[in-house]
Formats: sequence, structure tokens, C-alpha cells
Amino acid sequence: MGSAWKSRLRGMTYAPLLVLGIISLPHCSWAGGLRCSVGEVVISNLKIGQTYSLKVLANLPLVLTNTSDRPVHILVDALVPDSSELRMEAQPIPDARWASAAPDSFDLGPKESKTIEMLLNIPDDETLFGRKFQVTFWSHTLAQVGDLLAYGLNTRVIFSIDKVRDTTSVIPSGDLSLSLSPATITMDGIVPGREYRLEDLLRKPLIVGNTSTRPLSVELRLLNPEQSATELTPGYADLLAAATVTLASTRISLRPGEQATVTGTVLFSKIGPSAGKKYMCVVAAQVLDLPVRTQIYSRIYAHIE
Amino acid sequence: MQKTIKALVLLAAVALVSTGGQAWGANPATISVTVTIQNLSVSATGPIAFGTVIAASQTVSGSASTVTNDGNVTETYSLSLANPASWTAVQAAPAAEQYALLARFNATAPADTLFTYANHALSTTSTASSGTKFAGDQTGLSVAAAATRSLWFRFNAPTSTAVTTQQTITVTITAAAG
Repeated sequence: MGSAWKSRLRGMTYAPLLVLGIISLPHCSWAGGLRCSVGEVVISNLKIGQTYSLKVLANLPLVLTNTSDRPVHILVDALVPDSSELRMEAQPIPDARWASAAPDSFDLGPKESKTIEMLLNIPDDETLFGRKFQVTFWSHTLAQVGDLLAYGLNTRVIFSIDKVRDTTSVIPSGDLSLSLSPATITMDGIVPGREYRLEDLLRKPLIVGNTSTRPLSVELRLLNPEQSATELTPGYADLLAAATVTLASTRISLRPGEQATVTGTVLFSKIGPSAGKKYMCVVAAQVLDLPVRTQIYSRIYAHIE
Repeated sequence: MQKTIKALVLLAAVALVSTGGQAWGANPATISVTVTIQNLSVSATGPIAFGTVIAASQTVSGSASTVTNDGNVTETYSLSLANPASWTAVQAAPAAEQYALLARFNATAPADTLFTYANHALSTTSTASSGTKFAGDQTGLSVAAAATRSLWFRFNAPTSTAVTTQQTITVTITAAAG
């Protein structure tokens, strides 16, 4: 709080009779914040009558990190999303009790992280066959006395229900022990008619990594937003329809902890894209040979000069 | 020729029955899990203090909270508040034991008249930023990774109150991808 404001506060304290309480403690300024590992996950073909942990299903926990220098208390609530928040033609889950987090309440020290499980409990109801739902996991700090600000993050989980019942008792599992970063890459100043190497255009190279303790076979694919489990970003057109985009290798084997740079080329035809036009596509890295198909996306944006 | 047609009709019938049988006995489809958006992160400076205010007054915060998208995807901010024990938030001019807290994304301190109840008043329901909601010369809509926003508040005090002690109103800033 600045000295001018303190001076004003002192002056107002002595105003007769009309003084109200103050809001928030006038202690020194600090920065607080929260980070989570998953912003959106899309799941297909869950079965009725089953309970799923995304940790078991895909080795996909939600990792929450207190990025501030003070301890915080965290709550994770499953929420029915508002209609304005729905994506990909999903419906809000009919009951928030379909989803839960474990644990859903805990303390985090400064810069500390905690791994939690996101759980989905699908009722045994055949009217759910073929339907798609969305739930929000709201991770948020609980304000301490005197704090005006608290922080929250919404993780969207969009899932579809299979059209048939699964009579087996075994829950399949996959392993998304894969990193693909950065999550968003932008290529600026593209000139049509000139072929670019992806690795030359990116400020940070696109890297796929094996974060598990066993070897992984990974398939890399380019997807247009319609083929993918996401949507076209507003203001963008399909990159794969407008340009020839190739990846140098589409199947790679990664030892535990190993990383590989994704390389390829982008070529827009001389005729077609107009100046300033913007395009996008998705790079998907998929772990092969597991009962559950697991993959992770990075978005590529290309801006014509 | 007639025999051939009959045979074809018979084959078609068998094929239909066969297709129907397959549908009836369809196997469960493989489950797929796709992480379409990775890290989300938000940070903000605080606290914001209004100091001592008088009944029925309106006060703009003396400093802004700097809200930073320190994740790696575009984020939209939603805002909500939690009431103190004795007062209730309203989205209009407050009466006794009521208050209004308004929020506006703006690069510099906005005049108090630039806040409107319709676009800037906070409630206990988390409300997403838009081109108008909580908007000033900045918005909390589709904030690029690494970008910052300055969030200012206006407090409209109760017209009268029995409370004369310090009150804390908590504002929650929630980030979602998009």
C-alpha cells in the first residue's frame, strides 16, 4: 500500500460518526497463484455402471501447485458447468456427484505441489448410451483472514458414453506418461510459396518426451480441428486444408526419460492464403499398444505475413 | 435368370440378418483419453485495501491487482466474491447492510463513474469475463499466455450498518482455458 493511500486512510479514520470498517488488512503486497497440469481432457467410450479414476485409466492425475510464497488451503470441487461453458456439443453432467476428486481438501506449502485423482462415476443407466457430458473440476484456494483475493482453475473433463454395456469386470488402463511441449506454438510471418522447416520457425522446439520408467512407442499425427478432440480457435482456419504440412517421422520409440524434437515442414501455395490470415492444426502424440488409447495435443498456429 | 434373382434376394436377406446380428452383439469400443489443453496457471498481486470508508460512499481501490496468465495457453478469467458475515452483495445501489463490489480490467486507475452495476458488479456466482463483462480498456477474455491485466475495484458501502469493524470480502479469480 502506498504512502499516499496510508495518508488518506489516516485522514479518513478521524472522520466523525460515519466511519465504517475497512476492507482487508493493510499489510504489504504479495503475489499468490495456482497452477494445474490439465486444462481440458476429452474421454471417449466410458461404460455405464463403472467408476473411473483418470489416474488408473490413463496415468493422468491432476497436479496442483501453489505458486505463491505463502501456504494455502486448496479445495477441489466437481461442478455442473453453466451452458455458456459447454464445449463440443456436450451436455452438463446431470448430477455433480458423478464426479469427485481425491483428496478434495488439503494444504499446500509455498511452491509445493500435490497430485490428486479425478474420479468419474457413471450410473448404470442405458438411457446414457451414446451421450456426451462435461464436468468442471474447480481447484481453488481458500482465502485466509484478511485476504481479498483467492485463486481458482477450471479443468474441463468432456466424456462420452459407449453405446453398449461392458460385461467384463476389468477396468482397462493406459499410460499417458508423455509430454509434448510447448502446448501452443506459433509461426509468424509465413510467406506463401516458401517451404519452412518447423524447427526453424519455432522460438522453442516442439519436444515429445517419455516421462515414464518404461520404453514407449509413440505415434505423431497432424490433425485438423474437425478430426481432433478439440475445436477450431475463433478467427483461425484449418491449416491442413490450406498448406502442405509434414512431419519427418511419425513413429518413434522413446526410452524412459528420453526426449525427441518434432521436425517437419510447412508449405503454403503461392496462390491462396491472403495476407494476415491465420491458420491452426493440432499435433497429437499417442502412446501405442495399450488397452486405453492415450494422447496429448499441441496446437500449431501459422500467421501469413 | 429368376433363380439368380431369387439367390440374390436370399443372399441380401442373409446379409441383412447377419448385419443385424453384428449390431446386437457389438463389442464395447476402446476408451480413448486425450489431453487437449495442458497447464493452466494464474497469479495475482494482493491484497487490495480500501481503508476506512464512510456510509453510502463509493471508493475505487488505490492500487490494482496485477493478474498474470503464467500458464501456456490462452485463458479467460471468471470472478466471484464471498460475502463477509454481516453484509450481502448486491448488483445495484446498496441499501442498509448491503454493499456492491465492482471489478474492471483497466490499464490505469479508472474513474468511479466508469464502473456500471450491469457490467462490473460481482456476485457469489462465478461469472466469466467477456467483451463487456468486467471490461475496461482491457478484458479478462482470452488473455494470452504470459500477458498481464490490471484489475481495479470499486466498493459501494452500505447506506447504513451496525458493523464498524474491519470486513474482508474475498474475490476469487478463476482461470479456464479459452
